[in-house]
Amino acid sequence: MRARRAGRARPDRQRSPLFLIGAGVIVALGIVAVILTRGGTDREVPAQYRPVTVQGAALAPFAGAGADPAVGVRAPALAGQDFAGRTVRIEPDGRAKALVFLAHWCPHCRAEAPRLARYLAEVGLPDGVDLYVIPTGTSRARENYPPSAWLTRERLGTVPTLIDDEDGSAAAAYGLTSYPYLVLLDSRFQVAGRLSGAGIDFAGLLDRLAAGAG
Amino acid sequence: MSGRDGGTDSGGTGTGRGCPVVTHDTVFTFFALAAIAAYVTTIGLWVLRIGAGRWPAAWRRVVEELAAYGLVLAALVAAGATAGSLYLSEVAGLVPCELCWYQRIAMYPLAAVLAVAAWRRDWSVRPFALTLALGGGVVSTYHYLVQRFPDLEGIRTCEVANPCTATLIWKFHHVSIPFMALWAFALVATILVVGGGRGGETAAGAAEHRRDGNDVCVCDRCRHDQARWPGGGSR
Repeated sequence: MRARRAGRARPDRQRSPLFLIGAGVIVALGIVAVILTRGGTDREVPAQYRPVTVQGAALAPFAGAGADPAVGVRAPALAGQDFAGRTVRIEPDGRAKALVFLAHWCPHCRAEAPRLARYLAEVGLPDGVDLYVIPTGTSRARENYPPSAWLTRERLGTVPTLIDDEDGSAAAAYGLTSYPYLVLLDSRFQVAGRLSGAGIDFAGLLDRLAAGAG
Repeated sequence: MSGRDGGTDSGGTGTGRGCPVVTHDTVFTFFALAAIAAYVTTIGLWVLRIGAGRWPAAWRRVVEELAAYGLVLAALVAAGATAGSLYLSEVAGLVPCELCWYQRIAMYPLAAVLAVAAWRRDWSVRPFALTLALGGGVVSTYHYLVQRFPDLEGIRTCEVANPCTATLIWKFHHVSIPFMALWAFALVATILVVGGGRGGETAAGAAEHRRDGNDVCVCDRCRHDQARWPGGGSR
């Protein structure tokens, strides 16, 4: 070690430009970053959270495999708003309902959104069934924000939408444990089924829901 | 939502430390630009290495510089990546996922050992640092692939709390956090490979090399080694 340290004497060499270049690059990158992000990016974006009122007992958290204890249980009613600020209510009204919970940053939700839009455009909802999209888990820090723009882009902007609040009250009330998440309610507002994951068979499930809804 | 980031709106364009010009988004953009600079530098070094026969003088200069200052540069890169990751979690409030933690496990000690090695000018750190850099780089690559192709995980759902498939930062249509980490690891590894290849064989490394009036190396080692420059051919 002593010999190694002895060999450390600086040679007679010119000052290295590396550190000057590095410092210059870092300063330049900082300036570019400030210019690129100056003025913000979301001045025209509508609010992505809205207050949600939950009435009724929350469903058990969705466990995935096995029998679902929530099936047959009366679901909690929700009241909130869509992106335009209009009041949206999900409550017992004698019609079956499908609630699709989506997170804008979840890649599986992003894959599911165009499938849902295609189903609605090409097949359409069966009679007696309403469908609601519930954007939840929203985070400005995450990819594909804001969800309002994403859903519009995916041709889901006209689908009845109830925006979840910052605490995810709607998601928690329906026992959401992962995204994407579908809850089917029969005409008595009882849970007919719940499932999570990409590749949802909307046509098959909603047809069966409609068949059992009358 | 359980994660600090999961259901909040605090991360993206909020102001950092109340500064009206520099927001979190500005810092994220700076990190993304730094990652781009890292991969341009890394790829540039390897192109130069492959074309060393075509541009011998340039390559020799690069090797000489990195042999002399590579440990400091590598330590700065690793320290910058460490500071950046701490900013993301402790200041911007982005909770690290499981794969993020594995990358931290590689990057944090890398910064520490490279700092000590740079202080001691001790290139013998190379195998240990390369092991950390390459291991971290493999995890970063897998994490980036999982973000882009989430089915790789074998499940088709996103967990609520903090899934590794979630892309917390996405800049310039290709830069995410594991992408930044990947190129920090790659740049550190490249510096260690190039700088420590020949001139850095000893502790003093290329610092010993010095030219005489005829541009020939006259250090003791080179006099006994047919006047080779570090990393280059005979002169």
